[in-house]
Amino acid sequence: MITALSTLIGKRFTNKYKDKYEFYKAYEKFNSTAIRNLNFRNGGIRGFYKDDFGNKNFNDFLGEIIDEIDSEAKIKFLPNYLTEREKNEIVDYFTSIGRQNFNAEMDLLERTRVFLDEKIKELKEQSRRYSSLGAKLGFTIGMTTMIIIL
Amino acid sequence: MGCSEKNLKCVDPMLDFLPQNIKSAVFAVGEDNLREIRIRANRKIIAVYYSDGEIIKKEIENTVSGNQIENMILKLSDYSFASIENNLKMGFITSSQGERVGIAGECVVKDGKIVSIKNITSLCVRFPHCAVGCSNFFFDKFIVDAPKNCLIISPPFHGKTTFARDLGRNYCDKLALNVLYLDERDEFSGGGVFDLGKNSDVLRYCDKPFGFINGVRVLNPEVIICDELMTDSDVRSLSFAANSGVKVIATAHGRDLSEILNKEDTKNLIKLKVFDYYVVLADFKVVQVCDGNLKKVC
Repeated sequence: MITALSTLIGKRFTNKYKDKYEFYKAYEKFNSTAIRNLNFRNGGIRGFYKDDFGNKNFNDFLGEIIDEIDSEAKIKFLPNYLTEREKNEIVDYFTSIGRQNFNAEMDLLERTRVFLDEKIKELKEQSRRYSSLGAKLGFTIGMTTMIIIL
Repeated sequence: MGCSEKNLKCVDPMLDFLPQNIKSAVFAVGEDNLREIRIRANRKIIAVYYSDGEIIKKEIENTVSGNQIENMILKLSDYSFASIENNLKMGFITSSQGERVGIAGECVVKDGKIVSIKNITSLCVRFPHCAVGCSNFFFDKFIVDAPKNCLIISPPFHGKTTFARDLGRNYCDKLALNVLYLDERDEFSGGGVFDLGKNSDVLRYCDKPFGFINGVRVLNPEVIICDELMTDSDVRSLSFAANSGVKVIATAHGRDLSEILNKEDTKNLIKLKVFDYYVVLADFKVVQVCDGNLKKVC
């Protein structure tokens, strides 16, 4: 029981890496949708804010900022597993998107695509490495505790 | 003759791009009679409305900043400036409810052409109106069963576009003709809000030379409707269509026929002898009809 509990706690503690990875995957999906829209339909993007991008935290964030113009207000809707720097980067993106002419908008989206490709690779590796580490550490602590008690 | 103020219906203005406090203040003026809203950075908003045959301007206490105006444009564009680049070049945006928003700011010029407007400081919001049946009197008396070329004349705010739209609808529905609307500023269709008739086609945001020439070539219209003939190029394009056997309904700014005859740009319209009827409007009513020889018939 103690072992199981501490394993769960260990895993939970490192879940943030997996959550962050999933969040950024959703962010990348949004950016890809924006690129496709600009290339083909070149319509408004407000409708996308209600779409499902495969991650609840990201979808919830979009839902909160859909009519929020103020960038400082946007930042409070981002999940806590993101660092301050990551939050500021995301807020900068959602404050800038839609506000430029075609060429500048495409430039922003393409730069973001390249950035997100690298970021997602990095987060995938972190998620793989730390998720199993958390479970193992939790198990070890649990077993050690059991032994000490016994 | 024509429609009364009772028939004239302002399409429910949504003004979703305005901040809520400003929207409430504007609607408090009386949304049914709203004609125009003037929004200028750091100045009070002005609402223009119609009451007892008069145009009245009223100041609303709210002011907006330049930043708020930019946010309004962002909402009008559905959060994508890139999608309204062409509209910015032309100096206006049409909202999803058909409100036409004229823009004033700093023109961005490249290679001698205006490519955009930035640092926007003023918006002029005009509301579309419909008056189904406002051309029935004229249609039943002068058109009946064969389409005619008509020039609709009136000053601004007196119903030229509304009348031309309704006349086109009559041509569509009562004579079963294919009618092509050249909707340069999306004022005829209002983004799909208005009924243009069951046999209508719409070319939105195109200039008149393209609309007339390509329209005749590929859309096979029997009638073409356009708004605000002003330049020699407009007149030549219209002439091309008329000479191709297509009937034309057009509008021109002016208080009466004599004003059209005296203006350098529009007197050529009369010289061409294209039109079968000249219809003069005032306060959304037909006040005079002249035939192609400029003789008053009504």
